[in-house]
Amino acid sequence: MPRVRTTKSLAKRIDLQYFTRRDAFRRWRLWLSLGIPVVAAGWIIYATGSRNQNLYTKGPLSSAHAVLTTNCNLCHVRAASYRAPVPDKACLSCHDAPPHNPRQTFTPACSSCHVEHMGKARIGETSDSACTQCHSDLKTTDGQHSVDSRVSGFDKKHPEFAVLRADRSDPGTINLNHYLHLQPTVRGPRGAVQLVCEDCHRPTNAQDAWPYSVAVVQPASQQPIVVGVADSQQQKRRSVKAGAGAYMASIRYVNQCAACHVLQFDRIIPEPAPHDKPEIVHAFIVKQYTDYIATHPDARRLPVLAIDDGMPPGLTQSILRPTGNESVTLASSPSDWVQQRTAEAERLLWNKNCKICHISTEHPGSGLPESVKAVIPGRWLPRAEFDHAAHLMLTCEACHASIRNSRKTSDTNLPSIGLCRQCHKQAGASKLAAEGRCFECHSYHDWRKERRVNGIMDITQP
Amino acid sequence: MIIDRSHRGWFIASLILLAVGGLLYVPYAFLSTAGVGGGSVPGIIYGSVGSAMMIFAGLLGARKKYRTWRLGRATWWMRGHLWLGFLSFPFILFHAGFRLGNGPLTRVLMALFLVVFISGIVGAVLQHFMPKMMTERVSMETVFDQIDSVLDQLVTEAAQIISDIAAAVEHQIEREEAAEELLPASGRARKAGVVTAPDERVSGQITSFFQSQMKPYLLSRHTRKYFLGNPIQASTAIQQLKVLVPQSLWAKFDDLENICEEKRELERQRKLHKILHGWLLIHIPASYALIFLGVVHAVLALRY
Amino acid sequence: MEQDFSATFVPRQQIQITIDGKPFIIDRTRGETTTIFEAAQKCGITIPTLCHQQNEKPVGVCRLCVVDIGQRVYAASCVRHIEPGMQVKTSTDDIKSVRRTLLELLMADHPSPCARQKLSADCELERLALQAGITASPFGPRATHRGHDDSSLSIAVDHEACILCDRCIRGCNEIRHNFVLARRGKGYQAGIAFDDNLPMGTSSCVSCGECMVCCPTGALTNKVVVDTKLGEGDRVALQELQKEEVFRGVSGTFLNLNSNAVRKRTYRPGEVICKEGDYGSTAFYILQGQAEVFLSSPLAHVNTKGQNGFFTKLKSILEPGNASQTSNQPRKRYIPTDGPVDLAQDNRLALLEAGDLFGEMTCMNYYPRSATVRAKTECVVLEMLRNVLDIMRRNRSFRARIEQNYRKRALESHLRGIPIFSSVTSDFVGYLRDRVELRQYSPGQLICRQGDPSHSFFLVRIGFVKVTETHPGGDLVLAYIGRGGFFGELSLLGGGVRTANCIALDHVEAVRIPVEDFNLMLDRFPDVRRGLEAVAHERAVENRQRFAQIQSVPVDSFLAQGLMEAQSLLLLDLDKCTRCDQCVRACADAHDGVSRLIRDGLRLDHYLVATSCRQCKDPLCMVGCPVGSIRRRNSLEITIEDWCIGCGLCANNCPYGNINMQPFQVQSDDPAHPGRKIAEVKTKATACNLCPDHDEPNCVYACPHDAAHRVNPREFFADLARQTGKGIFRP
Repeated sequence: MPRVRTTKSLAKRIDLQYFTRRDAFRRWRLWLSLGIPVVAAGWIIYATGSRNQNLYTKGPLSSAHAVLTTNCNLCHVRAASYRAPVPDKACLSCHDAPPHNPRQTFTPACSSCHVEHMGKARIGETSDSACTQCHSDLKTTDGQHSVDSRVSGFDKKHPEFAVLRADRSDPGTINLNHYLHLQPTVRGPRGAVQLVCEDCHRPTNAQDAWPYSVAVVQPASQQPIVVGVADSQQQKRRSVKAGAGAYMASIRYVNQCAACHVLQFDRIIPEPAPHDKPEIVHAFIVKQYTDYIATHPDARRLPVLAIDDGMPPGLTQSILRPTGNESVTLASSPSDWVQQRTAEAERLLWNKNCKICHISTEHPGSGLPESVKAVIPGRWLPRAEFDHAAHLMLTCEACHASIRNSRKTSDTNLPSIGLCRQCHKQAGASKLAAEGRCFECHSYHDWRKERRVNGIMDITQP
Repeated sequence: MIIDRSHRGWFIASLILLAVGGLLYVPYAFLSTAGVGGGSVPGIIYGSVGSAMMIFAGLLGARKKYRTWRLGRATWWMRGHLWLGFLSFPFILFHAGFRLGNGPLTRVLMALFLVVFISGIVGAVLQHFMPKMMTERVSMETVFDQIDSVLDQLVTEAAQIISDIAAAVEHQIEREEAAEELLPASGRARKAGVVTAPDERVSGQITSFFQSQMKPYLLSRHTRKYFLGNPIQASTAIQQLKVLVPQSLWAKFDDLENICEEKRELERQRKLHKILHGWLLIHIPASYALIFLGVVHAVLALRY
Repeated sequence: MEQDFSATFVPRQQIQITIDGKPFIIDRTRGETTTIFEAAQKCGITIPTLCHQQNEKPVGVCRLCVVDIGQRVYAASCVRHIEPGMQVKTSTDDIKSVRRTLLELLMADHPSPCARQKLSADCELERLALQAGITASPFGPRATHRGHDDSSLSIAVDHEACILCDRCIRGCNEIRHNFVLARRGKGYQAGIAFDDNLPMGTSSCVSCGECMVCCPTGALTNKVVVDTKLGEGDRVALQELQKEEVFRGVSGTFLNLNSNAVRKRTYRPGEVICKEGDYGSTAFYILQGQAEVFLSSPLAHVNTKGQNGFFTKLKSILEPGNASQTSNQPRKRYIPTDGPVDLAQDNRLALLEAGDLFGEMTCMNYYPRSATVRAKTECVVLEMLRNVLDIMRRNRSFRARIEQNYRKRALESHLRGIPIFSSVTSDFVGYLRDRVELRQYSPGQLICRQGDPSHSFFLVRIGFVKVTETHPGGDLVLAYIGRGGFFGELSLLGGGVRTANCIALDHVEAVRIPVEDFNLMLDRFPDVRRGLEAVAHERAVENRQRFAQIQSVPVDSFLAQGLMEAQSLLLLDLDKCTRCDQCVRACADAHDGVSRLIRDGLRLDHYLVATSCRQCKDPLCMVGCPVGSIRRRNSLEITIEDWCIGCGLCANNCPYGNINMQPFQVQSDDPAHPGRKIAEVKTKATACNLCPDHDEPNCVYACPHDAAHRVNPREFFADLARQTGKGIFRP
């Protein structure tokens, strides 16, 4: 007889109270549901008991602040009864960080730009939006702004460097034709030379001697020339230590020009005139001639300029030299000779030689020239920092490409911002490029106004 | 719960929520001054929304406890649990800025969250095909908690059948013997050589089969060591017993075979049921811990 | 084509006997038997009995009914069959003195007044003794005592009063099929025993009360009155009930026990007694006054239009129906009601008077009220529950009156109400009136079997008849025929073999028209024959269609599980169910920790048909509830009221195991310390009642996976078939 399977027979097998009993599954569920949160609670309690607040940290501190890892309260200052945010005064208790512009409409909190607990990242590497929160649509307290009002990142809306804009040029007043100087035929102290960039342009911390400095033409026993002096023109910024190779040493006659642009004015006077104020040059010339005529009394013949009465064309330096013309008028007296000769020398110098480089006008009173101040900029990008040492791997002309063809003094041979963007991309290392975020070149804080702050942290003595 | 067309409403609502959350995340990620993170205002909002979803998901357990309260159909709660629980993951990711935790607490939280999330997905996936599998592969299914009790009843039933068979066999013997008495002596001598009738050994064999094989098999939980667990071997064994008895009793052996089949199916049911429900033993405790630690995290993060 | 029905002609018999000198002719079908007692009763002569009860098989132990039939010994008229030409004397002097002696002997042992006499003054023995003029018995009382048994909670057993009439034994066995009682002992120690002579309280007795109701003396009386609450109305005192004619012959003990199951109610003129369409469980008997019965709902059908949209609204509109639309023939149509009259379609109003019983079908079978009854004058009615009506119907005289009523008032409209028979003239109906037989069938009784020769045509007066066709997998129900319907005509037309099984679904009363009268009708009214032939043709077509449909359905499992019966199934979709037990727990939460659903049962394709009440059309569970506590109140679901006595009959009857007996602790009076309460464990039956307080049952509400559904099986599987475009089941 086949087995009976009816609804009733199946239902009768079941004990009606089966679900009231706790079976293995529900027991396990209960114990695990109690046990695991209890374990978690125990962990929390243990951490609280051992005063280990690191449990709740958002992430490791930056290397600079790593010492504060066990002193959460130094930064997380208890404000109200419960909340313990990081207020600005917590940061300022160790750092002084003046804001950069008195006309800024608001001062962002320290923590809004400097995000801690992100691990070993440098806390100073703020994101671009910290800057662009103002600069993308710049508003100032008085409505004036001295920078472009729409800067939103290096890749995008960053204006061309100020000095390269259409209406700007090199303000320097010393005439210089780079093209000419870079020809292999320029006349050096001992013949034609091929000048290279570093003959004249070196970082401020360069130790070796300038190849075309005064020392080349003067024996070393003469006036010692100081090289590598930190240029006082530079406005010191913190992160890039001037003097560490960031900026180029200023151009000074004595370092870069003296060896070729020798200020000898007369063949008979071997010593060149000093590159100094006109009065001193005048005094030097007079003395030299006076000394010469004293020692060479028969040289009282007026020199004849080998050139026309006007200035010779071009900017080649000229020097007084005797001609073969014998009919020379003798000077009546040595002082006369000195006087005449000086006048000729000065005429050459003031009207030609000096003017090769300087822009000078004759002062009406003294008859001496007055040169315009040589405002050769020591820093071409005053609002940013640029470190030549960081760019060691490049050739000079990689960036300053236009130098070879630069014939005018007014040429600013700086690379445009587009060139910088070839390597510096906003995304920086993640885009396999150089850092392009704002902080790489700019600084928010005006470190010139930084004051010293005494720290507050204490260490338990061993 | 099986996710089918009836979930359309929830699915669309979840997509919309996710889209809104994602779209708001993009500008937040790009424009925030301090970068993305849980502490920023959008981060806190994402965290709150994600936590609210998690807590709603957790309330399913409470809802299941008060089943008869008219708080909304259980089906609706289950759907909410699935969809909002699923959505809580992207929202917490938005909250965390796609970082998997930096400090110890947040790392543990993220780990727990992943455990809960993945076990939940595993469970949901299981629920799509395992019930059907159970239905198809266990035709004689019963209530899981009662499997042991039903097996006891099967033992009783089998014992009854066995004793019926044994009694019938012995009755047969008696009748044969009685019939033999009536035969002429020559007939008896002729018959003596041929053992066609069942004798005492048979009923003993059958009973010992039951005692040594079938009953322990029915009552044991580790059925591998019993050959009755294999349908072909069981069938063969039953066949071997069948030939010992008259044909009228064969139907009873079919019943015994059916009982063995039922045992096999019930063991199968046990196993499948454990798989279908086992993931809950991870999902539920982990979610309790998650909610507890999440509260701790929220309280302390708001403090700092 | 004329057919010769003579081969199937079943002859009737007419037997002539003489009772007390008067000749009588007993007319009956050949093959039946009639006892002398029955014959005498038919002729209006009453023979006193003690051990004979009209609804039990006679045993002839008391010998009080002996009559003289001219043989050597007197015959017990309750068992002896009549034979043609029998001469019966029922009350000769000798017989009278025999009876007297018997009574005296019985009274000698009888502890008069016995408990019954004290309670309801209707101890049959004492009554007969009083009628025979016996005040004190000359015989001495018995020396041995058989004792009392107070162990049962509801029935007091006084063995001293037992006259060994065996009525209780027959009642327990034949009527209730509980098989608890039997005889024990010999001689003076003979008596009745429960099980193996256990005390009644510890035996398997289910306290149904049948023995107590059957017992003619005070041997078995009721102890505790079950606190039935019928609702409004006045309680009727026992004596008043006994005075009513309808309760004549009903055991006083029974009436005492069930006095709360009967209420007297008074209705003012114009007050509605019952409304059509309501579910109910009571019948009404008009004591005084007149009531109108009518149908108030318009003759219309409802059309539901569904509007597809995000929010689906269902609009129902009533489309008025045309009379001509519903019936093709412009003849008078009658609407059957659950009372002694039928309502004509064009004038749906009739009158009920004193002595009319209505609501029988609702009471016995729990069908909804068929019409509205409104008091016309001031009406006094008795409202009663099923168990009381049951007892009344067993009473022959009551039944006879009801039948007469029917014949007088309802038969004509009933017959003429059937369109096919509408051309039958009144005088033919008058002819039929006395020739038809009203037969009662108990639930499940086979009225006619497929393949048997047919001898009769049936009209259904009350109840439902299930017409089934036998198939390999089971029986397929073709139709349910209710009041006003008819069956059996096809076989009479077609050659005399029944074409289907007709089974009484519930308590059925059918009007049986013998084949010869039927044939007479066909001959006299050719319209009728034509109509019948048309119906036969239609039915044959329908059957063929249905058969084709059946082919696509694994009918056997559908039928085998009785799913055709169900009106509401709890289906668990096994492809979605994760076996999490939420449904079971929810049910238990809603019902005092006791679940009314079990998550095991047979499957239908990928659905598990959970073991939970199916609200069957034919509620087998309700059959036999002794206190009428399991019933349908006013709606579909089956409810078990508080006064369930835990007898377990419904649990046994339910073929699907949907009713479970649960132990409950109740505070009841401590018999040892009066005034204090003690906790007692009682069992009560519980069954799913579809959680009527909510719009969704708790199990369905609590299932998290949308796997539990309460469905109407026919609609559900039909919808499924329509949706999937295939047969009901997936391939």
